[in-house]
Amino acid sequence: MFQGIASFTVNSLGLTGNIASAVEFWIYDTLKIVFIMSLVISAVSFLRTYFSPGKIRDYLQNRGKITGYILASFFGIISPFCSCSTIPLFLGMVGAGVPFGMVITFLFVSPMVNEAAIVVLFTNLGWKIALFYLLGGVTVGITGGLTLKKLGFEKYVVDFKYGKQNNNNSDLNFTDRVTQSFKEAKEIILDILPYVIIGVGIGALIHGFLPTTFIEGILQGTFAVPLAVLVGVPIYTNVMGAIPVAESLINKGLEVGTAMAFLMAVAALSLPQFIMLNRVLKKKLLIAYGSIITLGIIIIGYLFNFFL
Amino acid sequence: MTIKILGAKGCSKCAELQKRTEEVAKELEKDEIEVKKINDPTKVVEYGVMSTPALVIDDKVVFSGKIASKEEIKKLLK
Repeated sequence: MFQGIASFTVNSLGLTGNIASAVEFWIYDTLKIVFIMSLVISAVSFLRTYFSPGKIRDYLQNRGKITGYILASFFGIISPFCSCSTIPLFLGMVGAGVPFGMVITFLFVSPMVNEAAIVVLFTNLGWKIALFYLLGGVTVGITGGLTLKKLGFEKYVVDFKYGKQNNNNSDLNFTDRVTQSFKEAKEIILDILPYVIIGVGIGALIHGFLPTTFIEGILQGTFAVPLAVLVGVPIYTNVMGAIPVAESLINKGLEVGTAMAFLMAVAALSLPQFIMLNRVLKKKLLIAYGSIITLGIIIIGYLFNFFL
Repeated sequence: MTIKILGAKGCSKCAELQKRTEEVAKELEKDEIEVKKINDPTKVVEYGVMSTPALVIDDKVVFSGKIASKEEIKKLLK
């Protein structure tokens, strides 16, 4: 259906050749991504109305190791798009006494694995890539959480006063939940939309105009993965905008791992995020956190290249 | 009346809530309304808030984790 709309628009504008192909892809992929995002984000927002921050904390507080870490990862995956909510939640969990390792796992997984990204990766690049993305992020998260706990990094969270939990959204009825999840989803999507449009636009340009020789020449080789991460760090965009770029690069011959490393670096290693984290993590923990994510992404990239 | 908006830098919802609150404050023409934005997560969590944006009136958290319409804000400020 989206393909139809795209073709129709391109034909009515009288475009031909490479430009037609690029514009058609642009319209098609944007519509497809927005559609998928709407479904996934609405569903997850609805799910999240059942998990007020207080409840998440309660869920994690009295868990055995394995369940706790898996749950922490799960919460990280469905955590809000805006990392501005993740950080107060992180502090809240620490303040309430949730085991440090689990909270850090949450903090790792939250920027690395995004629920809408999983679905779009699945539809655009196949289940293997989507699964690898999910497992990769969760593995880095749990490993990182366990490691930092063992190394005693708990003391490197900044000191803060923890206020009494205010349970304002505790008892909503079904209709309220639905309304709230649609409202939240709409806001998130409008927020992300420019990034998606630009991302797909760049993807379309790559799709229509980038010669494969460019990729073979410059973006291959043993150090392609770390290089991709390096390139991804200064780029600031939402992960949903980066996926179409990665997808187009893969279709033009870039190795899957290199593209995914780029994608994850763009999403998880961003300056605004680290500026905010700087307020809650002392230098040592902040550096450890950043290093683990970076190393984790590089390893995931190499594994991707090796297996897929 | 001191109103604090608990949020984070770069969070557009929080900025929107601040904008709406300031507009409502102006429309109500009450001079004693002061609107402040708090971006520091350590201060945010002091209020027991874990989901931004949140609205605090005279140090009491009125709501958190969502953004309100100007109508709703007006009702709360009256």
